[in-house]
Amino acid sequence: MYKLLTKTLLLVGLAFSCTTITVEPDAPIPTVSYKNDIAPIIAANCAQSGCHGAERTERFNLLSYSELSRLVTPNQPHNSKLYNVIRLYDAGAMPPSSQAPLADVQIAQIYVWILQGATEN
Amino acid sequence: MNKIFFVIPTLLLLAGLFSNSGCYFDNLQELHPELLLNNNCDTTSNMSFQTHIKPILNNSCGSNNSCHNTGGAGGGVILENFSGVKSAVNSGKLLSSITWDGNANQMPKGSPSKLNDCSIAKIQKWIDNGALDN
Repeated sequence: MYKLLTKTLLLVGLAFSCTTITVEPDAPIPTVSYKNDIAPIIAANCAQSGCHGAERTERFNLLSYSELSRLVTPNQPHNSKLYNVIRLYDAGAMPPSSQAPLADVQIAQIYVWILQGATEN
Repeated sequence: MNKIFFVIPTLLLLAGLFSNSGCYFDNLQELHPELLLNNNCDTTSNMSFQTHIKPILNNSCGSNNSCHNTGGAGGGVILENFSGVKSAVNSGKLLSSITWDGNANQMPKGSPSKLNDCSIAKIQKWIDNGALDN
């Protein structure tokens, strides 16, 4: 009897452990643009020479939308390599620890851009 | 029967602990991104190098990573301290490079578009007001 109860409660606990909370935004969320918002962030923080840029690239460069989109699952920030590395969740967090992390607003822009479909808008 | 009054709260507590540890994704950027993104561009106040300009240079010009810092890849243009920024202002390169007026390389390098209008407006105003170390 207790065993059953234990299992049930643990299952219930797990099931509710990380449900997505829907929060009503206090204001409309603006559309984030790849060209105007995301590309300049990537260019200035990831695609500089010596990193994910043209000269002496790491394993891949991030100079175009098609390159960047390989790290993104549209509408799913948490399943996107790009988002997980800049949030420093994944192993191999980016930018590397010798450099400063992205600003909060930049991280938010990338989050919303992916959530909105990560198009080349 | 008495035991159950002990067991159930304990299990509920454990379930609660699980639920807390599972939710490390809850944070301001994700719950309320509009608070950050709707940050309206206020260029009415006096632009301060430390408060307004430095963060733009850090986040968009690589003055805190490997672009425009000492030893960085940014062609010797150092934007991590005031004197470096001031000389880029005096040569006209700072403004030309971000407004893409043709008199300097377009920055950020490799970007298909300029910095956002707000950042450019703040830098423009700061320069118009004398580019002070304020």
